[in-house]
Amino acid sequence: MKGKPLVSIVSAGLSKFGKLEGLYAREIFAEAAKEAFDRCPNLNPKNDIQAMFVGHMGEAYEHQGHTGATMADWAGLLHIPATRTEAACASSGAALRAGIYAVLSGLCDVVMVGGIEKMTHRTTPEVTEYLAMASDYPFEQWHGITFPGLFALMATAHMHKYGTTEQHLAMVSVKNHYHGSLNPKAHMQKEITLETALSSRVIAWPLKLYDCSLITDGASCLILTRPELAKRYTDMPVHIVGSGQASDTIGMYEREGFTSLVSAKIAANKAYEMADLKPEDVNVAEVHDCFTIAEIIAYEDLGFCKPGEGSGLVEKSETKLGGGIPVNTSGGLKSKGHPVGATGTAQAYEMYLQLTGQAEKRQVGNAEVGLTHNVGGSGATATIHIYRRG
Amino acid sequence: MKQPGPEKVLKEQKIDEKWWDNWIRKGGWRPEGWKIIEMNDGPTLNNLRPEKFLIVHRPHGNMFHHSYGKTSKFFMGLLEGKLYGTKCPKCGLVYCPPRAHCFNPKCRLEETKWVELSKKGEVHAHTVMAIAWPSMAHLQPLVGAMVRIDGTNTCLPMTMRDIDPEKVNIGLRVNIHIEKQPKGDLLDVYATPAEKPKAPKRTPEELKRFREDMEKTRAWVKKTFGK
Repeated sequence: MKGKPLVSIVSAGLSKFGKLEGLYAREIFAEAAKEAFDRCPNLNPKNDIQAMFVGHMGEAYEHQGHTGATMADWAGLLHIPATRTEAACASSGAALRAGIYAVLSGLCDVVMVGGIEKMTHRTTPEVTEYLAMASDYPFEQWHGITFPGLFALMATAHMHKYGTTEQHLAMVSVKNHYHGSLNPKAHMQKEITLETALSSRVIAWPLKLYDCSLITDGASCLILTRPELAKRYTDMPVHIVGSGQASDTIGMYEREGFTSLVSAKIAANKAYEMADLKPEDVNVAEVHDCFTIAEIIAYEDLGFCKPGEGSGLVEKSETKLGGGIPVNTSGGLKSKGHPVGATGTAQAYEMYLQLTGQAEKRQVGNAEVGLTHNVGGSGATATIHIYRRG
Repeated sequence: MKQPGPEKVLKEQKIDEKWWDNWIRKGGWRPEGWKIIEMNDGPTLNNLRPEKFLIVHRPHGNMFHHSYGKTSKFFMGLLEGKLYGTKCPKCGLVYCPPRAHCFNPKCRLEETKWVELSKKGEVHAHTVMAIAWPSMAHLQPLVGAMVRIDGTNTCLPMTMRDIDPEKVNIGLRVNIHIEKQPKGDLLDVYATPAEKPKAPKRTPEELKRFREDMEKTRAWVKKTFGK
């Protein structure tokens, strides 16, 4: 299987990301599904799609569980088998992986994978509390630590060990806001200055408001099929050539270090090995910048640079559009937004656009190989996927 | 053969039954209010039109009863002012937070033994939180730290007191305390510096910003909670 396509993406959909105050999650998911169906006239959704996996983190937001069936129902796909996957912020990265299992097992020819989260109708402290459910209950949440707090712990450890500065963190934010300003579906389509980022209100020092991703409503989905069937649906498929997923301790407190995510490193190695590719082969990547420090750590865990050198990559604009390896061309979680359950497949949606040349103003020239890095919680789950132009 | 359970109450700090009154009065959590909003909506970005939506405000709360499971002794220890961890009899790893079973693959989930721990440790990572759970908002700016208790192999997250937030640093030796009137959760545990703290390196500009941020946070807490 080394280097061979595992599955092919033949279509993809993404709802508008933002504060969609009047809508229900299921309706937002239907918007993403409609785009995927409209992009692919050769697909007969009701007849062709044989299973659905949908990532969703929190039933607390809408007091609505049983997400698999709900989304299949609203996507007009009754009576297919539909299952929710939950892995905190990596819920739809896990859904994508489940879809790959389903196709590779031979059980399904065509599956839909996706994700959804509706968050903005709850207050920020409530959302903070719900998100904290992805950390350890007795020993992290009840020390009062929030997710910004956990990533701030990683940031102080990284700054202490490698000399990363608050400026470096702010540079990630400035870059991702610039990319987001080019994405019509991004939640916050505005550029910011380094000064804006640095002088924003502190959330969990050293992380400030502009170091944190957005609380966003949104949904995303992909249509996957066996590579040999891809041409039946589209002339421009994108192949998934590597898939890795790994877990780590649910509590950060038991990890040996706080400057790297072991789960991401393991998952990345698996994915690279499966794809028969190296970090330097990647032309464009979407990484899980739930907080700016997470993007810097991601560069290092993915092998885009050596441990401790992540800050240099952003400082030299290497990861900006036009640089050697543009990262988070969609605007990332920072600017496009982070509807947690939808994020994994929303990253894959960006890869689909980039590798089929449909990313418009943010298109990376000659993008051949892409990578997505989706992290759950403080790194207890990581899913990495590698994509190749079909 | 013995079966697990049944339960019997050995000791109890009862909740005030009146806690429920507010909720019961809400009459089955029917909406208390509503609003109609208008927002742009449509199948695609090119087809947006103003649409109306109804939003209701529904009371929705509960009292969360839960066990601390096999790590209960740690929290019972807090109620008595003691700090406990667990030790694997096979490989010797010492856990605090405790684990009931050793996660070292070689030990195949061996049951651990309880050990009393020293109240000294060292900071391995730190932050100053200016956003917190609603129940902790008044404590901001809240210094959070990963503290490795002497003799353990993990870190216990805890808050820090009696220290200027700008002075907290990795490597700082700390004394660990338990609240005089413990409630039975991790917030009963806090650390204070055991030595003169040495602040992390900051440029004059970073330090100025840090101090302004702390001032803003304290002003917000004062305005919101009046203290």
